[in-house]
Amino acid sequence: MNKPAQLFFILFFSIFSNLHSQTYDFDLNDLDGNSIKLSELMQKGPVFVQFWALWCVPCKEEMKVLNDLYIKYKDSGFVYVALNQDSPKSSAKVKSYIESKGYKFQCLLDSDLKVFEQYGGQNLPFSVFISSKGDILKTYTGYILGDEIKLEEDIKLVLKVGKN
Amino acid sequence: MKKFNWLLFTALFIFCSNINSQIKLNVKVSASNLLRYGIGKENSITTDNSKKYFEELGDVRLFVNDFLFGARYEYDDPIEFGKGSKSISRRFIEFKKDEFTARAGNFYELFSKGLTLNAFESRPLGWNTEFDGVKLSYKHTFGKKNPIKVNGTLLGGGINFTDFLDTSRTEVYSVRAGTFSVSPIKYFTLGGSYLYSDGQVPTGNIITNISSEIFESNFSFSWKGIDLFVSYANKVTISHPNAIYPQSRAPRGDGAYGSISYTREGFGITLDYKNYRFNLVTPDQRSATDPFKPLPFQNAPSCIKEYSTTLLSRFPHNVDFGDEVGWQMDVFYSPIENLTINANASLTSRHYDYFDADTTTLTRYERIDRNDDFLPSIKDELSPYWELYLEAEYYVNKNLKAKLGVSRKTNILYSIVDPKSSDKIRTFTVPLELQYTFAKIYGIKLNAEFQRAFNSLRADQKNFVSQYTSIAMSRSPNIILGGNFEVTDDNEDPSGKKFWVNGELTYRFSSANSVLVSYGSERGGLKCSSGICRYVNPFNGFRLTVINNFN
Repeated sequence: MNKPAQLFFILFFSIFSNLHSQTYDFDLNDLDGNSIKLSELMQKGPVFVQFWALWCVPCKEEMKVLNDLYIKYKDSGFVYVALNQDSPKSSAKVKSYIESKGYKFQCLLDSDLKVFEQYGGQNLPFSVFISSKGDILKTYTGYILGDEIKLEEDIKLVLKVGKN
Repeated sequence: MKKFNWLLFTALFIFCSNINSQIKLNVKVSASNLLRYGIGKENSITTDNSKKYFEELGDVRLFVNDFLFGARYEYDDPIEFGKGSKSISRRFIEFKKDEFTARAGNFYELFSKGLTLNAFESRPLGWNTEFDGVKLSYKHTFGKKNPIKVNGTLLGGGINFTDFLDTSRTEVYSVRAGTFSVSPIKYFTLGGSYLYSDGQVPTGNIITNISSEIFESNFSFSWKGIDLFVSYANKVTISHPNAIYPQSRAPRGDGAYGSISYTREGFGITLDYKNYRFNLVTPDQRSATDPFKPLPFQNAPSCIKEYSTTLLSRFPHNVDFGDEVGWQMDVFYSPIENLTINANASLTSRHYDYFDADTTTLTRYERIDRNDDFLPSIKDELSPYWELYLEAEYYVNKNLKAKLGVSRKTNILYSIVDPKSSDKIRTFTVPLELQYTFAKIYGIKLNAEFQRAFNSLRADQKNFVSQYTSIAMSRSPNIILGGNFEVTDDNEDPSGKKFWVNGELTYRFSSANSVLVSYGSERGGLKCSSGICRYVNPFNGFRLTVINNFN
């Protein structure tokens, strides 16, 4: 790597290491072809954005847990949206899977991984928790059995549930 | 590690430690980092070769108002698969305002279902069809009461596609393409795309210059749980005369893909159909360097099930997007809340059989036409692949899950030169998964797979059995400790071994930062993604993966 490029990277990290982290809007289609914007979802409350694919077993484990948490906290303003990452090879099966599970949260299609890339996703499972003001509160990579305890704590903290 | 990388790491940690500071600017930044290191030996029956790789990928994204700047620094010394880099391997600038997006630099793109364009990266395979160019996208909804939705993308740029099986071969393409879709009423969407490409395709030392055009149209319909999608693409490739093709050729090919699904709460069924005839050639002309093959950035749906467990994915089917017809049916059914059943059936084959029409010592293959060439066949001569799969997943309670499956597959790679040496593989596989969570944060996961296989290419023992077991114990939110064991009675395994054992430790030092180390032996085999396959050598050694994400 040449010196100007090295300097670019070092300067980049040094200058911007103190900036506040905020999210950016995305606009994706849901399973019925309706256009859904993140900014619209944020009007309801904090948004948990989970990236998943049919081939990703831990993603589906996490999805089941998040669905339960969504049902539990949606009346308190919690929003959960699942962004599907399946390529065209299996995207036709996504709606079938979601409907068969009886899930009620919104599932959006990010087949070309544009949003995944913009959030810096590298591997699945990958999730981002975004406040209603657009701040990225937390990023999650991987899913371990029992993570639902921590996830619920994070949701309660953001919603300020159970605190006087 | 080089001095620069230490500086990069230092900068990353400074960045991390200050991520939550609250200086409000209309500037956003995010970064991610992936480090992969491995050292050991690749095993074969005859010899063991040293294997070492080091890959460091740092991605940064800077958002300034409506602009996004992004870059990736890649340092491979050497890369595990594919063509390595020691420089900024990705950079782009993107402008996004309301419904308009413009991007210059590197990008991937997907048009509809990929019959025209599906550029993507699969790093485990060493596959990369990344563009370097310009892309403009616009979407808008006209009207509110009866909205009309329009969506379009125009792009132009170049792709340097390094052959993932032979990294000394690079195909160079210059592409101009566009796609649009319009939804005049709620339930219907019409779309189309056009792609023009100039390419240079090397065969040995000779380069064939080609020009390709693809037209594609598609239609989708969605109403009350019924979803229908149909797509058709037509491609022509014109070669410029050279030593291999003294006269210009312009073969035409086409492809169709369709899917229909019906869903209601607790039930979903999907039927996929493919008919890819982009490059129907005689058996002696099939070649990875054929300039008339489907373009590397054409990647249509494979219509076969893709698995994530070890033995189920051991003998995958290598899709030929130039000559393949097939269908797949997939069903999800939840008769009760805690039980989900998944059934899958698929059948795929080539379109035609061929025969040698030359009565001399030369060979001249001719096609044997058939009336039902729009359907796959199970005749050996058409290299069929078929599969039946059934799986039941049951949550006994909130803490205990059991999943049991059964799979039957047959894959034939027919040899017209010597039919007796055709590669026939049959497998019967039973995967079992048990998962138990206790004391709220502890978990145990057991994956056990049993496979009985038949491989016609084995010299002596054609039937063999493999067993794979993995056990993982975890403590949320930090630790996973696991072990993988595999045993076979196959005397001719390419690794020359019959037993593999491997240990893994994953430690998450924060929700988005983790390190994974593993040591031991891995059986290797054919690995596939989106119908693209490569053989991964058996490996015995140490691996390290570090994943960081700073949003």
